[in-house]
Amino acid sequence: MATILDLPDEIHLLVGEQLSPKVLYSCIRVCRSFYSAYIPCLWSDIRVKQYKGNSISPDQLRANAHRVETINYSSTLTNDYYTIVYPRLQTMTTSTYFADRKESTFLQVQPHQKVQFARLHPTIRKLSFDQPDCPSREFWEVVETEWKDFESLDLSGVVLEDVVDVFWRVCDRLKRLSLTGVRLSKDLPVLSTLSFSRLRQLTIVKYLWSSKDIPYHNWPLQLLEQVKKSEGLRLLRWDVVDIPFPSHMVMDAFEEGCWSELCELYVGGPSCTDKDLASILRLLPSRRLTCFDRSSDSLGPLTYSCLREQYFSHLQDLRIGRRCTGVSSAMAQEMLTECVHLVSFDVPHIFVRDIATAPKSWGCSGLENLKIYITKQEEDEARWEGQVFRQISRLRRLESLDLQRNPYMYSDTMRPGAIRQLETLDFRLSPLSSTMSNDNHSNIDGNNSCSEDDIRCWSSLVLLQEFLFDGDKQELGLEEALWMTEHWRDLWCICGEFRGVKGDDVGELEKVFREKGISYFD
Amino acid sequence: MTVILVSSDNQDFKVDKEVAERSILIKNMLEDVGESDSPIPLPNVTSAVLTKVIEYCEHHRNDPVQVPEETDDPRKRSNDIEEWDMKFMQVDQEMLFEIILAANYLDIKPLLDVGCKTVANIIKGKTPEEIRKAFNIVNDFTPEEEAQIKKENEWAEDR
Repeated sequence: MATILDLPDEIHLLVGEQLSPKVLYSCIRVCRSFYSAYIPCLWSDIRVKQYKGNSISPDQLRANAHRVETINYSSTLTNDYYTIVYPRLQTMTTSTYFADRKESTFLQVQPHQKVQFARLHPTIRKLSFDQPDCPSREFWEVVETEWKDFESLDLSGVVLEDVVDVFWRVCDRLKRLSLTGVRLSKDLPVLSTLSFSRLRQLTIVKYLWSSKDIPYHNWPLQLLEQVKKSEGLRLLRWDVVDIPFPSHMVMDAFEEGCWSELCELYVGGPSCTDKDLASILRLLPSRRLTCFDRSSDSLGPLTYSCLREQYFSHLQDLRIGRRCTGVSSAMAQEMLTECVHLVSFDVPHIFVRDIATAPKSWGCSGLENLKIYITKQEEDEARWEGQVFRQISRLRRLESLDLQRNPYMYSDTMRPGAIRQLETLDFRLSPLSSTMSNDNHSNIDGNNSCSEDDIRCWSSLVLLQEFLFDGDKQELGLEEALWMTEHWRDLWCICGEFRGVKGDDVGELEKVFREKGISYFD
Repeated sequence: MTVILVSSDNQDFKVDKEVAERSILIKNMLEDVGESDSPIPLPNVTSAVLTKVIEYCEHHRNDPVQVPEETDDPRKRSNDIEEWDMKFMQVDQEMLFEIILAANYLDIKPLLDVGCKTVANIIKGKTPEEIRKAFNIVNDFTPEEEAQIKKENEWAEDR
């Protein structure tokens, strides 16, 4: 008779890939056999921060270094961490958290120490570098000559003048290149000898808040021109605050027969007209579009109708950001109904009415991430709200549910008149449950048929990891918090106000979240 | 064209070649042997399990062959379990593990994936004690070992 203990380790590894560190931590404490099966998974992907409790010490890391494949180092780590050798390291991320700058150990590690670390880790394939100190020429030379399998670079920071040539040579070999807020200290040309022949994904981003820095001038355009030679490009993301999306260059590239594989398109920033964007989508040589992101400016009617006619059946990731105008609630409802392969969806708002009165329910049953503000209107019928709760309860794959209002936080003028009152779903448990739960909480919850028409029917969202909500117009209390932590066992992040929690209960609320290992932001 | 598969308990199963070839092991065997109608013995698979596996292969006979797509985002690989597959996997635990072992032996990657995801879904959100209960496992750690494991890995608690 087969039991789980009969499965070989390689199968446990496949199971472990699906589990979060928190769950893996449970697995290794089950029994000896589980320990040896899951400990490699737990240690294969590690994030190291040096402040606050629960950090991993250099000694603990050293003892498990042979298991580590992916590591994330914060900018507060000391030299000790940079002397550890991880023989199987594949992915290295260096990040700067907001709180890092206040720490005494911030950026304490010397450049030569980082060069040494690079030299000790020729197995690295992916580097994500986000720290204010810029890698030296020596660092990039080590990358160029010794990292034989290097294929993915995510950089935000500065490329110094004496580094530019070796930097571009490194980029030339990559499959994936992402430059976010990168500054080249002089606007040196991209070498024309480069071919970017292996490049699959190109991201060039410069946000508003970095616009005070030196302007980008021409290198992003030069880079894109060079990248035309790359036949396998699948993903193009352009969001540069001071250079409009080069629609015509892209259309020319299509006409020249380039980029026949392109199917993921992220167009940010202003100045790409509806007409141009629609033309680009219509001309897309691959005839496939799996990801589309229009996170700012507006989504025009031509672009929308092109999406609807050609791509609704392909789209997996559709992000119409909260700064983007031109998206109505009816459009949101239509996309949720027709785009059956959606995994991630992000639009500014939808009306309770449109969900409740729709002839068809949402087709996107595999949705994992939903970001939307659900808005009630005065004339709504009372039963509609329950229908909305039930519609969402059917999204059993949901991992992240963001129902915050903040698209309109900064600007009243962006808010369509009809949603001015900004009433959203009522997340309170109904009074019935609150009186009965005093006797026997778990019995009632155990019986969760979906006849409920409030948040209780969301007990079906068993994979939920993140929940973000607006609690400022309703008094959510300890009871709701307990309900959430009890039913959403994978929850690790909750964001929203529990206004009904006062006095001593505030400490109690924090304790509940702490004990469950949930990060809480109000 | 059909082939005959023979389970460990000596039952013959006559299936279409294209269905049998969902198993890379069988596909390779057939290629090696060439034109031949001799039965293929599968000494590691019982008839009960083979029945299930063939049911799966029949349902997925027209699926495109999985190309190992290189994506950076592991989440894109771990797409959800299809509804049919989910129902197919609603079997008792013993059968679930037998199917996984058979999929591994016969080299049917999509079936192996679905099986592993099903196991992962059982584990998700559970405490060590709940996992023991779910799979009928006895805790064989000493209290000292337990304390040691906690100490070394506690950082993972809030991840």
